[in-house]
Amino acid sequence: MRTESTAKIVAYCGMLTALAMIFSYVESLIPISFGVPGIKLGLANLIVLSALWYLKPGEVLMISTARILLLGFLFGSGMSILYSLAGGLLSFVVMVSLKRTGGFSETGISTAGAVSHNIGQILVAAAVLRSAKLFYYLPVLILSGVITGILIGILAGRVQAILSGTAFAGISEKQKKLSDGNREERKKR
Amino acid sequence: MRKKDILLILILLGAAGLLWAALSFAPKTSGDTLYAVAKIDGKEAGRWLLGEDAEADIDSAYGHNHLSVRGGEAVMTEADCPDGYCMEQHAIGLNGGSIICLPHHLVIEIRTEDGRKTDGGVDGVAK
Amino acid sequence: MRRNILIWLLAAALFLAGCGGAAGNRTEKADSGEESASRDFFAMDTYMSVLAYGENAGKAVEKAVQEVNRLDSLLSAGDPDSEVGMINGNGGGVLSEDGRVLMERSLSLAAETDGRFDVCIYPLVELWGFTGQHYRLPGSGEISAVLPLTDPAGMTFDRNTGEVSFSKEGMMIDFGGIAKGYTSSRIIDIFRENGIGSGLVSLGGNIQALGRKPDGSMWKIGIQDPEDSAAMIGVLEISDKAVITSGGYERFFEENGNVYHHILDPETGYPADSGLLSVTIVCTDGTEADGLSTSLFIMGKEEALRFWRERSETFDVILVTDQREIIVTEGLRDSFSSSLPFEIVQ
Repeated sequence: MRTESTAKIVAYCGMLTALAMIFSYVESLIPISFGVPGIKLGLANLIVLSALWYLKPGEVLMISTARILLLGFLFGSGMSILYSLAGGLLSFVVMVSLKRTGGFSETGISTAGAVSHNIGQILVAAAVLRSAKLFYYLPVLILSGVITGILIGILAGRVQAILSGTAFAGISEKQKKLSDGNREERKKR
Repeated sequence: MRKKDILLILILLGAAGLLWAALSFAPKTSGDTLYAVAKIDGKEAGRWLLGEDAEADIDSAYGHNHLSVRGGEAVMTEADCPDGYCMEQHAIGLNGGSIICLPHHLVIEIRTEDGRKTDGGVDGVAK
Repeated sequence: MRRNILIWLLAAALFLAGCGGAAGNRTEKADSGEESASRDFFAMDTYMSVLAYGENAGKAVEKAVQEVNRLDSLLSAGDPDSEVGMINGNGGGVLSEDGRVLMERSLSLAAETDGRFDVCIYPLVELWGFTGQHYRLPGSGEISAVLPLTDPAGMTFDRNTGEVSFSKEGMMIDFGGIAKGYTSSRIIDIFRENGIGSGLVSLGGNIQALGRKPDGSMWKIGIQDPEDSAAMIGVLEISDKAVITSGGYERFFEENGNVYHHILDPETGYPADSGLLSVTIVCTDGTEADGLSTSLFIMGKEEALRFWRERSETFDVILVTDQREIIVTEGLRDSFSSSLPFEIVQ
């Protein structure tokens, strides 16, 4: 009974993973330096964030983790995977929790996600380098997380507006009802 | 954006501001404490905290030098050595480096509390 | 119409992604807790530091310092009681083991560099006052009088007995052009004999590294900017190599608005005016690196590169010209990095 939508969900997960990877890559081509290492726009979070509205948390987690691992194996090193995983997991947990509490829009969730991503990375960096000096970056990283988070949040809002009413939104909604029928925090707007 | 979003963003910005204020006013205990260390024939002849201004005479059997530490930098301001090269050398500071007075067998280096050199991230300089 | 938006996004992103190259990451490991020993001291008219990692580090460093002092008292041309000083004072004499090796290396370097490396240049160096601090600009008559004394053809050397004799009065030898490179090679040998696998020697800016750093990473060696003593033109990552830089900035004086530096061209008798500000040689053999750095400085850019092309297997070069070009040879492509523009030549 679920086979058809399961196949579609798998396809969407794969596509979104690919898209997230490509966004990370496109971002690495943008020659903007913010002066502090580790600060970036976080385009890939647009995918993870948007997916939270259409897929189950477990599926979103899979997309986020797969993106980090694949990118890490392709272009990075063991260390860069560790940093990205720490940021990715922490921001995922924060975003899912905020979304469950309700009352936050994409912008709020995205901002919290971006800030916690930065904090996750710096925690690992401080542990690896055994240096507390890195915490001096914390205010800058929070500020940059707020700015990039708001930008990505606004972008996610636009993407959602476009996607609502498309086949993508419809199908994922049907799947959600089938497999996860008793959650009703959606469409509060 | 909703009210809760704006509240969240304001709280985050407030936290960043508070942290920044706390870190910039707190004494820098977690960073390395740097010293200008004077050595004559490899033996330590004195050390001065880079963070505090100081004027110091360094005298030995080889001769007289005067080191000034000002604004986080150390520079040789007097020397009775024949060539006077040590006074022409650049001030040294946070980025490490050394001032060498060959005739007086004197070296001023930037070192951390536990004696590590901080030579701008390199292990040596070919010159 | 909008249902294909994801497909379009994907296609657009794929297109964009096709336009760039892949980016890599590098990481650094923290220091290991291996035993280490280091010494900073003055010898050979310069400031030296030796550093060794390993079980016998303390002993190895101690032996290294002794070796430097032994070679210093043997080879110093400025010391009339040294072996070299006595040969110069007596107009001839017998070289001991180290001196014989250095003389042979000097003569083969002279043949290789078409006489740019000159073991007999000391009378000229003395005339200019570069042996001490009494720099002066000699008259052209004085220079042409001294030049014949600097021709090694006027010296006879017997490889087997170590005997040196001069055909002209006033001739003198000096191993200053390779002594520091030879000494750093000797220290590396001593490190090896004592089971040291990782060490770094800096003899007044003549650098030689043994192995890699204890954490497995390469040694990072900055190359001094010839025009700013506080700056570097770039960083080399090396293991088991000597890095030796020669430049006019090391010792010079000014007179009548002209700058006269200490690297004298044995052909003209004047400071080499070759359009180069500094030459850095990277080579596994410290003695070779030391000798070539001054010789290539005298040659100038074009000839130095031609010289390198014939021997690109044995060493690599970084040249800085007075136009502030930085020229790096092919073998250093992966080990040299700089925030300044530089050119790689083949």
